[in-house]
Amino acid sequence: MVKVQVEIQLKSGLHARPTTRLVQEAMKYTSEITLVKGERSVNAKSMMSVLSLGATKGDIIELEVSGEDEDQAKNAILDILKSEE
Amino acid sequence: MILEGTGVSSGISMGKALVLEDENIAISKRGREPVEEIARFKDALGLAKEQLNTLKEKVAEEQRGILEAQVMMLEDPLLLNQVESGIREQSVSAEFAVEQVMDSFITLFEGMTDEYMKERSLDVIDLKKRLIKNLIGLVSSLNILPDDVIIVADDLTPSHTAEMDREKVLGFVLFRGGKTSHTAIMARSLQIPAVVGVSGEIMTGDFLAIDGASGVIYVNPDEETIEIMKERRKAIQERKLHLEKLKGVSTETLDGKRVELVANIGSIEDLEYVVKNDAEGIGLFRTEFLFMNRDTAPDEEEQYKVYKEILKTMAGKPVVVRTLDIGGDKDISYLDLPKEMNPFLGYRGIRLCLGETDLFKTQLRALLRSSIYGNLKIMYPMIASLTELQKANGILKEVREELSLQGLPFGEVEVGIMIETPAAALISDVLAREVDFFSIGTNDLTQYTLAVDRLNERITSLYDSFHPAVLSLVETTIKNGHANGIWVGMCGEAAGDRRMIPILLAMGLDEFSMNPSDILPARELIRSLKRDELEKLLVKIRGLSTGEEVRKLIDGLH
Repeated sequence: MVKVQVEIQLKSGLHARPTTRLVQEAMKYTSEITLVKGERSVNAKSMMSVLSLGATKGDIIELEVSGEDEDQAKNAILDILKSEE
Repeated sequence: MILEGTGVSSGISMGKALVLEDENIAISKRGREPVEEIARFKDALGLAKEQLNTLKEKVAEEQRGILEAQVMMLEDPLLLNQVESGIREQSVSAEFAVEQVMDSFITLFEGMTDEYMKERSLDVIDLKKRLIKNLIGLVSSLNILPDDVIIVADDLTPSHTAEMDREKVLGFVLFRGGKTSHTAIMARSLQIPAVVGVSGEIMTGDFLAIDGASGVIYVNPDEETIEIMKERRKAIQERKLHLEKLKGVSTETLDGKRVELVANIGSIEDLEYVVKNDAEGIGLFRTEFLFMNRDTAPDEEEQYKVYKEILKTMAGKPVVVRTLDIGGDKDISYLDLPKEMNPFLGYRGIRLCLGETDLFKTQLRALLRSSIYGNLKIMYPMIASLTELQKANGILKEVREELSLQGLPFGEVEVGIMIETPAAALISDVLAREVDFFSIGTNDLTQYTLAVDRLNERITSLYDSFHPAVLSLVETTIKNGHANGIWVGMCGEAAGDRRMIPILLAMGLDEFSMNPSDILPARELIRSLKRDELEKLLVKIRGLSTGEEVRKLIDGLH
């Protein structure tokens, strides 16, 4: 399992469009991908759950990935969270 | 299970039922076996994705993002798991489980502080509606049908049928409606089997085998029945091939009396069937559909293009266009017509045209301008008095003068009227002097003569075009038309009726206008009849006192 903390750079936070991208990306991997914000942790492959985090720019998210392709998955998700749009 | 109704468009078809229901349908909690409900849910989900992806192509970039997000929501494993376990654990219907799960997401989003996130609940509400609609078969837009289906509904509106993906419809089963309802007429022109006036229960996903001739519907039939239906379908196919041979053959009786076999159409799309069935022209183009399902009336240019295309396609064959015949069963938002107690006796047909002269003039201008492209004939609907006819002709004259002044070309056009009120039939001797032809509209003529609402299911048995009163009016009209040297046609359902055709031939009807699919069988029938025998038949019929007696006599002939 890999774990990493990241500050969200997305201008509008995890709104519909970036979340769509994030979930689409997460689905490409077999690893379990979890996003943790404060006390809540959600499955990154669940659109509803990720949206319901209500994460905005500047929030600190913990990304946990475990599975065969965990490294690639971690990097891909990180890229999205760190991008600005 | 076997259900029965009235077969209104012949043919056999077999396939899955898609039940269309009303907007505000209550969701039933009780479902079938969980396995089946889960399968239904997955179908609805798949269909929803397909619908959203289709929609995505049509919208602006801005909205596309929202739709993409919705698709991802549908792929949410949490949603799938929760709905599936909801169905399994509570043994409820898929609709019920979807509503439960979606509602919990909606509450979640609504409770968020971020305004933007709050609004995401709208997406979920949207999806919930879409899924439930798909589940209960209320496909919001019929242009995206799941598979080849038999459409089951209370009744279909013209807008339903207009936007429907006809390729995917195998048949229609309606709980309401009769032989002359909109759907029945449309089904016949598309040659899709249809049964109406059915009572009983059908659920989306049921396998149906329907016989559009006898009106029998088998719900989830056994193998044996399916085999029998397949055999029958084959026989019908063979009959079709036989009828093909009558294309291009003259429509005349054994002793050489020629009549004209033409088609009724409601839109440009129907032209395909006109050509396919070898119609000798168009005896009735109902222009109403040009005016329906829209927010404003079609302008002159738009109408002109439609008429021109029809005339060009028909390449010199006669095309009778009926001017706007709205009222009664048709709802036109931009005309803002008040609700009437008796719309069929109200402001409609020529009455409306004479009241809304701008609308009428625009149509006449478009018609006259298109007339240079073929053999156009203009026909006014619902005439009941000489005054109405003279007024309509007066307006037509004005329009001709206007066009001449503007230097716009138009051709010679025959002008006729529908004979569909008993009044018009009875004074047809007077009316004949002012027109070039009559076309008898038996649907309304029967309804008005017998005072029977043709859409009222409780009295369908009273609606009878063979009633001696109706036959007498038809004969009077033909006689008066001929006495004044004009031709007389018929564009009601009766013109294509196998039992009516011999009577009409005997009366001397010149033109028979019917649904395209009835044309070849009618030609076959006419070619097997002889006039002197028909005349004897007519003498007998004149002596009969009920519709039943008339039908019995005709049935004895075959």
